[in-house]
Amino acid sequence: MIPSRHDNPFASCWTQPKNQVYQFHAGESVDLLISCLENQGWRGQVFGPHGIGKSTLLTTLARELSCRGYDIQPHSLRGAQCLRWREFTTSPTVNRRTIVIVDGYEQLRPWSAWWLRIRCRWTGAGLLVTTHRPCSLPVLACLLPDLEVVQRLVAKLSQHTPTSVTRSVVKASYIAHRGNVREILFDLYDRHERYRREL
Amino acid sequence: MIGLNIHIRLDSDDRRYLPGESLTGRFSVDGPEHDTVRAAEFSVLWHTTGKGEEDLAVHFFERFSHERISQLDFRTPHPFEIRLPFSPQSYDGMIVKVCWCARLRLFLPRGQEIVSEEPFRLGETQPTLMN
Amino acid sequence: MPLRIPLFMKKRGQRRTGVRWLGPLGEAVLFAVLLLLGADGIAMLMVGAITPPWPWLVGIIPASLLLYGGLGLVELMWHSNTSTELRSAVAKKAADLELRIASGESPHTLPAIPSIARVVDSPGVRLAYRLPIDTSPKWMLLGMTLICICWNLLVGMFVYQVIDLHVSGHPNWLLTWLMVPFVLAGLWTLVVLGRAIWITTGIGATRLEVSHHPLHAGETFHLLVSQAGRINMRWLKVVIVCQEQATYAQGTDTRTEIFRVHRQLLYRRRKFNIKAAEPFAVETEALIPNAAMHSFVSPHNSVDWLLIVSGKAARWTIFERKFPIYVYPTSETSEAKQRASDPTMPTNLQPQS
Repeated sequence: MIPSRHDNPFASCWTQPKNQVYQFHAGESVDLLISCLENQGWRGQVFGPHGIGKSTLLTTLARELSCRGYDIQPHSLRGAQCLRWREFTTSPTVNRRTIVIVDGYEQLRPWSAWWLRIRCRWTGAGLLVTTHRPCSLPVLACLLPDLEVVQRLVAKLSQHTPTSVTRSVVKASYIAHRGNVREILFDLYDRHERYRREL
Repeated sequence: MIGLNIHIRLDSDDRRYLPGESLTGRFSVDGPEHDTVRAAEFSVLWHTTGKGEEDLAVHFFERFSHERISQLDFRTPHPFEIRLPFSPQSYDGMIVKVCWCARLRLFLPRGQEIVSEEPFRLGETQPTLMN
Repeated sequence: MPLRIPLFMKKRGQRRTGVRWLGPLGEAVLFAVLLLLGADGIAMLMVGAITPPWPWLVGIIPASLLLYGGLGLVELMWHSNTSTELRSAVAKKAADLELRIASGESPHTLPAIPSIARVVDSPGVRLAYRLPIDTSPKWMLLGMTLICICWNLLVGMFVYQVIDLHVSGHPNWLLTWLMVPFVLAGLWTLVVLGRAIWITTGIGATRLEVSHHPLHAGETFHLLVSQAGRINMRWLKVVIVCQEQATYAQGTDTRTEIFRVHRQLLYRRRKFNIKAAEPFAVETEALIPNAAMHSFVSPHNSVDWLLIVSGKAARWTIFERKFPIYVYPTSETSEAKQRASDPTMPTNLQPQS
């Protein structure tokens, strides 16, 4: 057998936010969210628990906004990083086509978050963030666990690579991990590998 | 829909190679839009897959400019022969896999790219079994 | 209306908008101020303008400012006057040079294979090589000791001043209460250090020697395990392990997962005593399975082989010491080996040019 990234549909190369398209609930769409964001003056927060798909939604929105000609400035924060003023770049001219995206907004120190908001308001740039707890920005989306969305995601991932992971297995994993999509995908990865080796 | 077909063929039927052996084969590009290719890059590389972030390293790389593509005419199979290294060998692990492939990337107008790859196995490492 | 001197700049490919020099200037000013403060503090100590009770210890503070400010300025100049490519080339050259000196071979001979320099640099007493332990407790203990001493000495000085004020009839209650958490922290460092020393010295050093290195799949090698100390052992085990390690960053989290793919017990013994004058030693052998994966390392993934010595002594917790070993890919193919044993077997390989 020749090892290949197609061996497992739940490998990180397929499940990382940058390689996925967010699975919207019925009645929702990326156009609707962008329209909402525009009504809020291009300022918004996406909040929800860990592993719910905030980064994936942010990536999907960023991609669509970029296609529409907006200048996207992404920042992804890990750990207790401080968005140093030297690293934070924004257009010096008043530019409503610039949108600053921060993944992990709650990890900013309070004065950094304040400065970021002030700076964006001053220059007219938009600000779109993900956070685990609500902040002072207007709410764009509040993500909650949904089994049907997870089932659709799994079906999409496994459309090119057959897997023995069934809908009931996905449901069991969803219950065990309380809707944390990231943990569910890791779990399904392990199950797929076990099934593959048992065959 | 881009009107291009990429074919990468390896000479070994089972696509299994031993360390230090030569990887030989040929690649070609055909289709109604074959003359729109601005540049091409052929590489032999390994990458990891599994649960971790994907790592990648190129063992062999060759870039073809537009002029060279016109001269060579990729509709005719273009042969290649590359001596493979001793490491890292292909590995089918549980959370880490090491995969080798020959890859052809075509650069098209308006920033479009298409990629095709042909995986092969290097070495005789056995896949991980369940404990 | 845009600012005349915008505080932020935007990178556009290789170009930048805004004022480029403002950021580095601000940093240079900060580092220069720290440097001056540090130098001034040291100068004042040396000329006797200030006379604290422990001048050499108090001197750590201005020395730190001096060092931080000086290094910051040097780094700023280095980054300002060199290109990314030059810095990257210099770093790579240094890494390659270190590798060549350490291993005597080019780093490109076996890509993605960790170097065995740490092992082959350390000869064994009875077998060829002594294996370095995965994490040496010595450096950790040294660090903890330094922190403990520095903290408690500094706190002790202030406590002395506080007591002096009380004795002289001018108590400073605010300072007295402020010292309480610092004193408690100092006591905690003493307890932690004491426990770490007790565990490390009580159990004694574990030595592991191997007959040869690097190892290859299908190969048997000899190992010698030696355990020092004066201990009443409940059990002692030696195992060989192969594990995969994967690191991933999902969203804002970074996670590392380890999966053990191979584990084999090499030696086990129950209920025996180790005497201080006579370290326990046992020699055994181990086999790297046929067609096993070699050691592999990349920025986010690895396949590691380890020898693990673990044990439980009476009245102690279980200890575990890990010794990395390196399995290299075989240079001979299995077909070549078969041909060596059966010369009549037809060959499918092309002659090497």
